[in-house]
Amino acid sequence: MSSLLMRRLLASLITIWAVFTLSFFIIHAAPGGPFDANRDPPADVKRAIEARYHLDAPLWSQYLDQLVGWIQLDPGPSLRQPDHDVASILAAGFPISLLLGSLALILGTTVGVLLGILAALRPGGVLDQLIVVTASIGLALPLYVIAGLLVLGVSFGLGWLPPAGWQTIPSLVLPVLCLSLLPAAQSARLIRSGLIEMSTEEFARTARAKGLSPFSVLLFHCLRPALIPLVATLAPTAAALLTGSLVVEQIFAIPGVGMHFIQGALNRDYPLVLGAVLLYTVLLQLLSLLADLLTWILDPRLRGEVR
Amino acid sequence: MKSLESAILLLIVLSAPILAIWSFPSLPGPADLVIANGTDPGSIHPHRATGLPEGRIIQAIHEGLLLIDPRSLEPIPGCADRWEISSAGTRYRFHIQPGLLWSDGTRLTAEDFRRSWLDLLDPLQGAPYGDLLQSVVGARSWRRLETSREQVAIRTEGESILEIELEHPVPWFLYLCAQTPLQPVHPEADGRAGPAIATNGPWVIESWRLRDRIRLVTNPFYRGPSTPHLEVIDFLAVESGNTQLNLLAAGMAHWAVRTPAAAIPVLREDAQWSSMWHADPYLGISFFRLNLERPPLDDPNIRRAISLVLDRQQLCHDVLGGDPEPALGFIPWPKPAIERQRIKMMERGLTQEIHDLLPGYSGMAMTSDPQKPVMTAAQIAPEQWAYEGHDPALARQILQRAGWRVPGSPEGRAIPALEILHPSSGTHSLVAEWLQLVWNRELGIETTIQSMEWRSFLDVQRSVDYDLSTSSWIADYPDPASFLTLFTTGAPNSRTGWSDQEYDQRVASALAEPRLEERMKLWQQAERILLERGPVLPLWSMTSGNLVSHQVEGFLPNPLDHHDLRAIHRSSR
Repeated sequence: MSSLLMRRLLASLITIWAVFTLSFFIIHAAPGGPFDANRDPPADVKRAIEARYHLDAPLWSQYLDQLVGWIQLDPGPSLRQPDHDVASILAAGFPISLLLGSLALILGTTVGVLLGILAALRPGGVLDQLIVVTASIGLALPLYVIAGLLVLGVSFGLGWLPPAGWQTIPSLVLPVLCLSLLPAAQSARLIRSGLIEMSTEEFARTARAKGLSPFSVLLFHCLRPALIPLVATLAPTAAALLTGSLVVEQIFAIPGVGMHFIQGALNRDYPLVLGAVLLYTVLLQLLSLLADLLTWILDPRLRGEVR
Repeated sequence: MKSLESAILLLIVLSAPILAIWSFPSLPGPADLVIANGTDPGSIHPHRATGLPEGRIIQAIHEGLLLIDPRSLEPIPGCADRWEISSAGTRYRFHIQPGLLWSDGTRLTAEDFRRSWLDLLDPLQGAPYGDLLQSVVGARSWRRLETSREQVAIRTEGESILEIELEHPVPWFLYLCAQTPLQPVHPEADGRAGPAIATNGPWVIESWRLRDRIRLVTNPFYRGPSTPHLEVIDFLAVESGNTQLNLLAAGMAHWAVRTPAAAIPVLREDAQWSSMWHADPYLGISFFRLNLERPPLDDPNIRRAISLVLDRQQLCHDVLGGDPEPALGFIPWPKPAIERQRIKMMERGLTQEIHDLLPGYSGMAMTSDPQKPVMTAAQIAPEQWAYEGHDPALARQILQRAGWRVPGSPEGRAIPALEILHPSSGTHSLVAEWLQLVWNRELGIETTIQSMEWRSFLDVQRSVDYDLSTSSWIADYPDPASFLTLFTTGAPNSRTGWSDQEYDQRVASALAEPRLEERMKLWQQAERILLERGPVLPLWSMTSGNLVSHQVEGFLPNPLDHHDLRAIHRSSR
């Protein structure tokens, strides 16, 4: 087990380095620079600004600077917000995205698993069809449509919740609801199909033959193996949710980190983009590891193999 | 195994509420004024800031030598309580009010201004707006690193006198003294800004929550001339116009600086909103840059024709929501718009005087009538605009005479296709599609549209690799110079490669001309050359767009979109 863990960690480190390197060169290959504006300063002033941030140095030297900076966890100031360093910008936004994302993940997955079980109880029944259609709509509708409808209905129609802002606990509700839709729909579909598949397996038939109710068979015998595919897809979903969502952050004025992925790139704020990409990559690696661990717990066959 | 499994699951489930309690921000108390301020500000250091969201914050936490009266737009005392200008208009002597303090309690003196202004000019510090002071004697040569800092004619006498000597009269110099780049910077700032750096304005930063809000509270050491009414001000970082509108509608913000284009017709017409909607004439122009090196735009007949077929009134009304004014030339022409604004305000029972933006500039009074080259604004009818108004038939005649093929006539050469380049944000694509439609319908010109992400767009524009490219310009100061120096040979923002000796001469003469009336005539001549031979196709004069709650008083519409928080207060409504 420990050698497997070591191999996984090493692979993760190499992945993180490769993503960092690729991202660095891709973002620097994009035309334009961080200090371009509708009103350009005279050329020598622009050169002075670029020199201040070492953007006049050769690309390989900038790459090494950034790499060493990140290894020491001190990547320097943001190019667009030079009053703040990149680490503090990400540190300010990450807890917020983490909070929203984890609440949405827990809510979405819980609701999704429950709906999946309900749907699998009578495949093809009215409830099943209703849940399948709702889940498909949840997956298909763009977030900005759902968010807009929620703001219109809940905030302005009913007047129950603030339409945006990051000030009070009620301001969390709508963004969490929006963000939870995707994991809810995903897990409902996965659990439903997993349970239906498992209920045709021999162990389920045996359990039913012994006189257990279909509900008990689903819940106590089929659910556990049906969770395995869900856990596998949960890692990328969780990494995406926990690092914020551009759409939700923009509509609800949430100061998370999701916006930095897009705005950082549009502003050519090189250190900030690299920071955001690194954050996502590290989180994805950690969560994949966690998912493997969970799968290992859930699936006794794997434990035998690893030993 | 079961217990490990349960423990892990429990830990995951419980971590979220724990995280919620740990990381949720402590609730700030209510603010007297909440401004949905647009993008999260970049640097709020006066020398480094470039955008409007930053400018609003800097104006509140700093105070320059002078302030701008939001009612008359005249310079009024700020840190300087009086000033003298030499008869030649080249020597300014400011008397700094005694007893002024920084927000850390230390003395603020004339030397602070001298040092800050020299830092602004310092070529090695790379301040984007350093050239605002380049008319100071010795500044240009220092910026080329040919002389030293000591040779720049910004001097102090004792603690309270600041004296500046200019190369030539700069009629807008007092206005500059109120602008954000010329605000004093604390000696220990060292390029930084934020709650830890002392400032000298009526408010100081209490907290800065990134991408959320900057909270200002009154500065206990402020000794300046203003008596601010607001104690606590929040600047919210809200990028989306829709969200700004929602926050205002829910009473969570009092002033939204950006509104979605689609909402503008409702804001204008709906009684609930129209009294809160301020779309005021603004010193900014929307235009297209033309590449005169490429056919067919190298032919002046084509340039004239593609302008003549445009019904700018229709563009402003149908495509842009109805607030902007058709551009009659390159300098935005706020006069008719200001008249309309005046009527609108009278209807609302407001009696505030709105002032012309460029006093002395008869502006777009250049007409196609050579007998009457200069007219007053009220006399100008659309058919007399510098662009001869909207006349598709004349456009087709011009093209036919020049040997081009036009719809309805098979003779002549086919006009090569044009490409419109525009940035992918905002209403640019709508405007491009409208142009494509009109040019094809009226002149048979095929047009392709290319949309590009903003910085890639700027990169292409800078390398002049386009036929027509979407452009806009907002004045740095209220003078034709701010627009017309844009296209002199080698100017850093021309982005057209255009060069015209006569134009350069007129601009140079206007800059050096001390007599106001003569200067304005020279500007008008320069503008005429630009319109006739130059690389621009003006489309509309911009309007500012502010949505302001009824609870806010003292928000005075003006063509500079200048709203000093010192004059604003909350009513109990």
